[in-house]
Amino acid sequence: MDEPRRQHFPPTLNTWIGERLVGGTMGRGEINRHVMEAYEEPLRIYFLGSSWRTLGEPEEIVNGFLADRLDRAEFFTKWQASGKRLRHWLINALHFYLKEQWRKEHRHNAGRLDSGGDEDGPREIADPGIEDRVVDRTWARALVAAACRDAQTSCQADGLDDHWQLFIRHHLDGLPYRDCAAEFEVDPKRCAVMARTAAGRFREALQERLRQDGVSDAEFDEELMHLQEVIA
Amino acid sequence: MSDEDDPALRTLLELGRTQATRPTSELRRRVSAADGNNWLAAVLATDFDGNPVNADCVLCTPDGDMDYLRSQYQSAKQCFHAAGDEDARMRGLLWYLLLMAAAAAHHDVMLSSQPSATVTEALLEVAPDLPDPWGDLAARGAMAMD
Repeated sequence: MDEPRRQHFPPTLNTWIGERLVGGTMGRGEINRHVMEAYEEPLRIYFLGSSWRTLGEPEEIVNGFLADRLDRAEFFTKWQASGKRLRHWLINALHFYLKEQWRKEHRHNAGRLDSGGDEDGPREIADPGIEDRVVDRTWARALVAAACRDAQTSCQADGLDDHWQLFIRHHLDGLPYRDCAAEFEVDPKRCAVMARTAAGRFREALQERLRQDGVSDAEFDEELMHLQEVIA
Repeated sequence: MSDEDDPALRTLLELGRTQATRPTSELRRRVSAADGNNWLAAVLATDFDGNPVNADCVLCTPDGDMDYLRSQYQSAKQCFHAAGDEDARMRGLLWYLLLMAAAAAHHDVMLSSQPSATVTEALLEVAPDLPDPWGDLAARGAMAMD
Protein backbone atom coordinates (compact mmCIF):
# COMPACT_ATOMS: atom_id res chain seq x y z
CA MET A 1 0.00 0.00 0.00
CA ASP A 2 3.04 2.26 -0.10
CA GLU A 3 2.96 4.90 -2.79
CA PRO A 4 5.19 4.59 -5.86
CA ARG A 5 8.66 6.04 -5.54
CA ARG A 6 9.18 9.48 -7.02
CA GLN A 7 12.47 10.58 -8.47
CA HIS A 8 13.12 14.27 -8.71
CA PHE A 9 16.87 14.06 -9.09
CA PRO A 10 19.41 11.65 -10.58
CA PRO A 11 21.20 9.27 -8.20
CA THR A 12 23.74 11.73 -6.86
CA LEU A 13 24.04 15.46 -6.56
CA ASN A 14 27.46 15.16 -8.16
CA THR A 15 25.87 13.77 -11.32
CA TRP A 16 23.07 16.29 -11.24
CA ILE A 17 25.41 19.25 -10.82
CA GLY A 18 27.83 17.83 -13.39
CA GLU A 19 25.07 17.68 -15.98
CA ARG A 20 24.00 21.23 -15.26
CA LEU A 21 27.52 22.59 -15.39
CA VAL A 22 27.66 21.37 -18.97
CA GLY A 23 24.45 23.32 -19.60
CA GLY A 24 26.12 26.71 -19.18
CA THR A 25 24.37 29.74 -17.69
CA MET A 26 20.95 28.14 -17.49
CA GLY A 27 22.38 25.08 -15.78
CA ARG A 28 24.31 27.23 -13.33
CA GLY A 29 21.09 29.04 -12.51
CA GLU A 30 19.41 25.73 -11.64
CA ILE A 31 22.31 24.73 -9.41
CA ASN A 32 22.32 28.07 -7.65
CA ARG A 33 18.58 27.95 -7.01
CA HIS A 34 18.89 24.48 -5.57
CA VAL A 35 21.84 25.37 -3.34
CA MET A 36 20.17 28.54 -2.07
CA GLU A 37 16.93 26.72 -1.34
CA ALA A 38 18.58 23.77 0.39
CA TYR A 39 21.50 25.38 2.19
CA GLU A 40 20.66 29.00 2.94
CA GLU A 41 18.97 28.16 6.23
CA PRO A 42 21.70 25.81 7.55
CA LEU A 43 24.35 28.37 6.60
CA ARG A 44 22.46 31.13 8.37
CA ILE A 45 21.98 29.06 11.53
CA TYR A 46 25.61 28.06 11.42
CA PHE A 47 26.73 31.68 11.06
CA LEU A 48 24.56 32.74 14.02
CA GLY A 49 26.20 30.10 16.19
CA SER A 50 29.74 31.01 15.17
CA SER A 51 32.23 33.49 16.62
CA TRP A 52 31.86 35.53 13.41
CA ARG A 53 28.24 36.51 14.09
CA THR A 54 29.13 40.15 14.86
CA LEU A 55 30.29 40.63 11.27
CA GLY A 56 26.78 41.48 10.07
CA GLU A 57 23.19 40.46 9.67
CA PRO A 58 22.95 36.73 8.92
CA GLU A 59 20.75 37.19 5.85
CA GLU A 60 23.16 39.73 4.38
CA ILE A 61 26.23 37.66 5.15
CA VAL A 62 24.83 34.40 3.76
CA ASN A 63 23.31 36.02 0.70
CA GLY A 64 26.58 37.86 0.09
CA PHE A 65 28.52 34.63 0.46
CA LEU A 66 26.27 32.69 -1.91
CA ALA A 67 26.28 35.50 -4.49
CA ASP A 68 30.07 35.68 -4.36
CA ARG A 69 30.90 31.98 -4.41
CA LEU A 70 28.14 30.67 -6.66
CA ASP A 71 29.26 33.14 -9.28
CA ARG A 72 32.69 31.56 -9.47
CA ALA A 73 32.99 29.20 -12.41
CA GLU A 74 35.27 26.76 -10.61
CA PHE A 75 33.34 26.57 -7.33
CA PHE A 76 31.41 23.37 -8.05
CA THR A 77 34.08 21.68 -10.12
CA LYS A 78 36.40 22.03 -7.13
CA TRP A 79 33.69 20.61 -4.87
CA GLN A 80 33.26 17.65 -7.23
CA ALA A 81 36.97 16.96 -7.01
CA SER A 82 37.00 17.28 -3.20
CA GLY A 83 34.86 14.24 -2.40
CA LYS A 84 33.26 16.19 0.47
CA ARG A 85 29.60 16.46 1.37
CA LEU A 86 28.34 19.67 -0.18
CA ARG A 87 27.35 21.02 3.24
CA HIS A 88 30.94 20.68 4.49
CA TRP A 89 32.29 22.25 1.32
CA LEU A 90 29.94 25.20 1.68
CA ILE A 91 30.77 25.72 5.36
CA ASN A 92 34.51 25.66 4.63
CA ALA A 93 33.92 28.20 1.89
CA LEU A 94 31.83 30.30 4.26
CA HIS A 95 34.74 30.30 6.74
CA PHE A 96 37.07 31.68 4.07
CA TYR A 97 34.48 34.23 3.00
CA LEU A 98 34.01 35.39 6.60
CA LYS A 99 37.74 35.75 7.01
CA GLU A 100 37.85 37.86 3.85
CA GLN A 101 35.03 40.02 5.17
CA TRP A 102 36.77 40.42 8.51
CA ARG A 103 39.99 41.52 6.81
CA LYS A 104 38.11 44.01 4.62
CA GLU A 105 36.38 45.46 7.65
CA HIS A 106 39.60 45.53 9.61
CA ARG A 107 41.44 47.34 6.81
CA HIS A 108 38.58 49.78 6.45
CA ASN A 109 38.55 50.56 10.19
CA ALA A 110 42.32 50.80 10.34
CA GLY A 111 42.32 53.28 7.44
CA ARG A 112 39.51 55.29 8.95
CA LEU A 113 41.26 55.60 12.30
CA ASP A 114 44.55 56.31 10.58
CA SER A 115 46.07 53.44 12.47
CA GLY A 116 48.54 51.37 10.56
CA GLY A 117 48.73 48.78 13.33
CA ASP A 118 47.33 45.29 13.22
CA GLU A 119 46.91 44.74 16.92
CA ASP A 120 44.21 42.13 16.77
CA GLY A 121 45.78 39.93 14.15
CA PRO A 122 43.63 37.80 11.88
CA ARG A 123 41.13 35.51 13.54
CA GLU A 124 41.93 31.87 13.34
CA ILE A 125 39.70 29.67 11.28
CA ALA A 126 38.27 26.92 13.40
CA ASP A 127 39.38 23.38 12.65
CA PRO A 128 36.82 22.13 10.13
CA GLY A 129 37.11 18.64 11.64
CA ILE A 130 35.68 19.96 14.88
CA GLU A 131 33.21 22.25 13.25
CA ASP A 132 31.73 19.43 11.16
CA ARG A 133 29.68 18.32 14.17
CA VAL A 134 28.18 21.77 14.52
CA VAL A 135 27.48 21.86 10.80
CA ASP A 136 25.90 18.43 10.91
CA ARG A 137 23.68 19.31 13.87
CA THR A 138 22.37 22.34 12.04
CA TRP A 139 22.13 20.37 8.85
CA ALA A 140 20.10 17.57 10.49
CA ARG A 141 17.48 20.04 11.61
CA ALA A 142 17.28 21.75 8.23
CA LEU A 143 17.27 18.38 6.45
CA VAL A 144 14.27 17.09 8.40
CA ALA A 145 12.40 20.39 8.00
CA ALA A 146 12.99 20.33 4.23
CA ALA A 147 11.97 16.67 3.98
CA CYS A 148 8.77 17.48 5.87
CA ARG A 149 7.97 20.23 3.38
CA ASP A 150 8.65 17.89 0.45
CA ALA A 151 6.59 15.06 1.93
CA GLN A 152 3.71 17.38 2.69
CA THR A 153 3.72 18.63 -0.91
CA SER A 154 3.87 15.06 -2.17
CA CYS A 155 0.95 13.97 0.04
CA GLN A 156 -1.14 16.99 -0.89
CA ALA A 157 -0.54 16.40 -4.60
CA ASP A 158 -2.03 12.92 -4.27
CA GLY A 159 -4.95 13.82 -2.03
CA LEU A 160 -3.28 12.38 1.05
CA ASP A 161 -3.33 15.50 3.18
CA ASP A 162 -5.07 13.69 6.06
CA HIS A 163 -2.29 11.11 6.04
CA TRP A 164 0.29 13.84 6.38
CA GLN A 165 -1.63 15.70 9.08
CA LEU A 166 -1.90 12.49 11.09
CA PHE A 167 1.86 11.96 10.72
CA ILE A 168 2.52 15.50 12.01
CA ARG A 169 0.04 15.14 14.88
CA HIS A 170 1.85 12.04 16.04
CA HIS A 171 5.50 12.74 15.34
CA LEU A 172 5.70 16.50 15.93
CA ASP A 173 2.75 17.25 18.20
CA GLY A 174 3.26 14.06 20.21
CA LEU A 175 -0.35 12.90 20.03
CA PRO A 176 -0.60 9.14 20.68
CA TYR A 177 -1.81 7.08 17.73
CA ARG A 178 -5.02 6.09 19.51
CA ASP A 179 -5.88 9.79 19.91
CA CYS A 180 -4.94 10.40 16.28
CA ALA A 181 -7.34 7.64 15.27
CA ALA A 182 -10.11 9.29 17.29
CA GLU A 183 -9.30 12.76 15.97
CA PHE A 184 -9.31 11.61 12.35
CA GLU A 185 -12.28 9.30 12.98
CA VAL A 186 -10.57 6.20 11.60
CA ASP A 187 -10.26 2.68 12.99
CA PRO A 188 -6.83 1.46 14.17
CA LYS A 189 -6.04 -0.39 10.95
CA ARG A 190 -6.87 2.60 8.80
CA CYS A 191 -4.74 4.69 11.11
CA ALA A 192 -1.87 2.24 10.49
CA VAL A 193 -2.31 2.61 6.71
CA MET A 194 -2.29 6.39 6.95
CA ALA A 195 0.72 6.49 9.26
CA ARG A 196 2.71 4.08 7.10
CA THR A 197 1.91 5.90 3.87
CA ALA A 198 2.93 9.27 5.28
CA ALA A 199 6.06 7.77 6.84
CA GLY A 200 6.94 6.31 3.45
CA ARG A 201 6.57 9.72 1.79
CA PHE A 202 8.71 11.29 4.48
CA ARG A 203 11.37 8.59 4.08
CA GLU A 204 11.50 9.13 0.31
CA ALA A 205 11.79 12.88 0.78
CA LEU A 206 14.52 12.56 3.40
CA GLN A 207 16.54 10.14 1.30
CA GLU A 208 16.14 12.38 -1.75
CA ARG A 209 17.53 15.29 0.24
CA LEU A 210 20.46 13.14 1.33
CA ARG A 211 21.14 12.21 -2.30
CA GLN A 212 21.18 15.89 -3.14
CA ASP A 213 23.89 16.40 -0.55
CA GLY A 214 26.01 13.72 -2.18
CA VAL A 215 25.08 10.68 -0.04
CA SER A 216 24.83 7.43 -2.03
CA ASP A 217 21.95 5.01 -1.44
CA ALA A 218 24.29 2.55 0.26
CA GLU A 219 25.32 5.23 2.77
CA PHE A 220 21.83 6.35 3.88
CA ASP A 221 21.67 4.41 7.14
CA GLU A 222 25.22 5.24 8.12
CA GLU A 223 24.61 8.92 7.42
CA LEU A 224 21.34 8.97 9.38
CA MET A 225 22.93 7.17 12.32
CA HIS A 226 25.72 9.75 12.25
CA LEU A 227 23.19 12.58 12.29
CA GLN A 228 21.32 10.94 15.18
CA GLU A 229 24.59 10.80 17.09
CA VAL A 230 25.49 14.44 16.53
CA ILE A 231 22.13 15.71 17.76
CA ALA A 232 22.23 13.48 20.85
CA MET B 1 11.80 23.00 14.93
CA SER B 2 13.19 24.24 18.21
CA ASP B 3 15.94 22.73 20.33
CA GLU B 4 13.30 21.13 22.55
CA ASP B 5 12.23 18.97 19.62
CA ASP B 6 15.31 16.76 19.64
CA PRO B 7 13.43 13.52 20.49
CA ALA B 8 11.13 14.18 17.54
CA LEU B 9 14.13 14.97 15.38
CA ARG B 10 15.81 11.70 16.36
CA THR B 11 12.63 9.75 15.63
CA LEU B 12 12.25 11.37 12.24
CA LEU B 13 15.86 10.63 11.34
CA GLU B 14 15.26 7.03 12.41
CA LEU B 15 12.18 6.86 10.20
CA GLY B 16 14.33 7.85 7.24
CA ARG B 17 16.47 4.73 7.44
CA THR B 18 16.34 2.09 4.74
CA GLN B 19 13.50 -0.37 5.15
CA ALA B 20 14.33 -3.00 2.56
CA THR B 21 16.57 -5.12 4.78
CA ARG B 22 14.51 -4.86 7.96
CA PRO B 23 12.84 -8.01 9.30
CA THR B 24 9.41 -6.35 9.18
CA SER B 25 9.90 -5.71 5.47
CA GLU B 26 10.72 -9.39 4.96
CA LEU B 27 7.59 -10.35 6.91
CA ARG B 28 5.49 -8.00 4.80
CA ARG B 29 6.85 -9.65 1.66
CA ARG B 30 6.10 -13.09 3.08
CA VAL B 31 2.47 -12.41 3.99
CA SER B 32 1.86 -10.52 0.74
CA ALA B 33 3.11 -13.43 -1.40
CA ALA B 34 0.59 -15.46 -3.40
CA ASP B 35 0.50 -18.16 -0.71
CA GLY B 36 0.66 -15.62 2.11
CA ASN B 37 -2.72 -16.36 3.65
CA ASN B 38 -2.06 -20.12 3.64
CA TRP B 39 1.34 -19.57 5.20
CA LEU B 40 -0.21 -17.36 7.86
CA ALA B 41 -2.91 -19.90 8.69
CA ALA B 42 -0.38 -22.72 8.94
CA VAL B 43 2.02 -20.71 11.11
CA LEU B 44 -0.72 -19.70 13.53
CA ALA B 45 -2.21 -23.19 13.77
CA THR B 46 0.54 -24.54 16.01
CA ASP B 47 2.18 -22.94 19.01
CA PHE B 48 5.85 -23.15 20.00
CA ASP B 49 5.19 -26.19 22.19
CA GLY B 50 4.04 -28.03 19.08
CA ASN B 51 0.40 -28.04 20.15
CA PRO B 52 -2.54 -27.12 17.94
CA VAL B 53 -3.88 -23.73 18.98
CA ASN B 54 -6.88 -21.53 18.30
CA ALA B 55 -4.86 -18.40 17.72
CA ASP B 56 -7.99 -16.33 17.17
CA CYS B 57 -9.18 -17.15 20.68
CA VAL B 58 -5.77 -16.84 22.32
CA LEU B 59 -4.67 -13.63 20.61
CA CYS B 60 -7.79 -11.74 19.61
CA THR B 61 -9.80 -11.92 22.83
CA PRO B 62 -9.07 -11.24 26.50
CA ASP B 63 -9.39 -15.01 27.11
CA GLY B 64 -5.74 -15.73 26.37
CA ASP B 65 -3.86 -16.63 29.54
CA MET B 66 -1.08 -14.13 30.31
CA ASP B 67 1.37 -16.82 31.46
CA TYR B 68 0.82 -18.66 28.21
CA LEU B 69 1.33 -15.45 26.20
CA ARG B 70 4.55 -14.77 28.11
CA SER B 71 6.01 -18.23 27.54
CA GLN B 72 5.06 -18.20 23.87
CA TYR B 73 6.55 -14.73 23.52
CA GLN B 74 9.91 -15.98 24.83
CA SER B 75 9.81 -18.93 22.43
CA ALA B 76 8.85 -16.69 19.51
CA LYS B 77 11.69 -14.30 20.29
CA GLN B 78 14.13 -17.20 20.50
CA CYS B 79 12.84 -18.57 17.19
CA PHE B 80 13.12 -15.18 15.49
CA HIS B 81 16.69 -14.63 16.64
CA ALA B 82 18.04 -18.17 16.37
CA ALA B 83 16.14 -19.93 13.59
CA GLY B 84 18.32 -21.41 10.88
CA ASP B 85 16.04 -20.66 7.96
CA GLU B 86 14.14 -17.58 6.88
CA ASP B 87 10.72 -19.20 7.00
CA ALA B 88 11.15 -20.18 10.65
CA ARG B 89 12.54 -16.73 11.42
CA MET B 90 9.44 -15.13 9.92
CA ARG B 91 7.24 -17.49 11.91
CA GLY B 92 9.01 -16.33 15.05
CA LEU B 93 8.64 -12.67 14.09
CA LEU B 94 4.93 -12.96 13.27
CA TRP B 95 4.13 -14.63 16.59
CA TYR B 96 6.47 -12.25 18.43
CA LEU B 97 4.62 -9.19 17.09
CA LEU B 98 1.12 -10.62 17.53
CA LEU B 99 1.82 -11.79 21.08
CA MET B 100 3.04 -8.32 22.00
CA ALA B 101 -0.04 -6.81 20.37
CA ALA B 102 -2.39 -9.20 22.20
CA ALA B 103 -0.79 -8.57 25.59
CA ALA B 104 -1.01 -4.80 25.11
CA ALA B 105 -4.49 -4.71 23.56
CA HIS B 106 -6.25 -7.15 25.91
CA HIS B 107 -4.17 -7.19 29.09
CA ASP B 108 -2.49 -3.78 29.12
CA VAL B 109 0.87 -5.54 29.43
CA MET B 110 4.05 -4.59 27.58
CA LEU B 111 5.93 -7.83 26.96
CA SER B 112 8.99 -6.32 25.32
CA SER B 113 11.64 -4.23 27.03
CA GLN B 114 12.23 -2.38 23.77
CA PRO B 115 11.06 1.25 23.61
CA SER B 116 7.31 1.25 23.01
CA ALA B 117 7.74 3.59 20.03
CA THR B 118 9.93 0.99 18.31
CA VAL B 119 7.40 -1.79 18.80
CA THR B 120 4.50 0.49 17.88
CA GLU B 121 6.12 1.47 14.59
CA ALA B 122 6.90 -2.18 13.79
CA LEU B 123 3.28 -3.20 14.40
CA LEU B 124 1.92 -0.31 12.35
CA GLU B 125 4.35 -1.22 9.58
CA VAL B 126 3.02 -4.75 9.18
CA ALA B 127 -0.65 -4.24 10.16
CA PRO B 128 -1.89 -3.06 6.73
CA ASP B 129 -0.48 -6.21 5.08
CA LEU B 130 -2.06 -8.68 7.49
CA PRO B 131 -5.57 -9.97 6.85
CA ASP B 132 -8.04 -9.45 9.67
CA PRO B 133 -8.31 -10.29 12.46
CA TRP B 134 -4.48 -10.16 12.55
CA GLY B 135 -4.09 -6.75 10.93
CA ASP B 136 -6.67 -5.31 13.27
CA LEU B 137 -4.95 -6.95 16.25
CA ALA B 138 -1.56 -5.54 15.25
CA ALA B 139 -3.01 -2.03 14.86
CA ARG B 140 -4.94 -2.21 18.14
CA GLY B 141 -1.86 -3.48 19.93
CA ALA B 142 0.15 -0.57 18.53
CA MET B 143 -2.47 1.92 19.73
CA ALA B 144 -2.56 0.32 23.18
CA MET B 145 1.18 0.57 23.77
CA ASP B 146 1.68 4.03 22.24
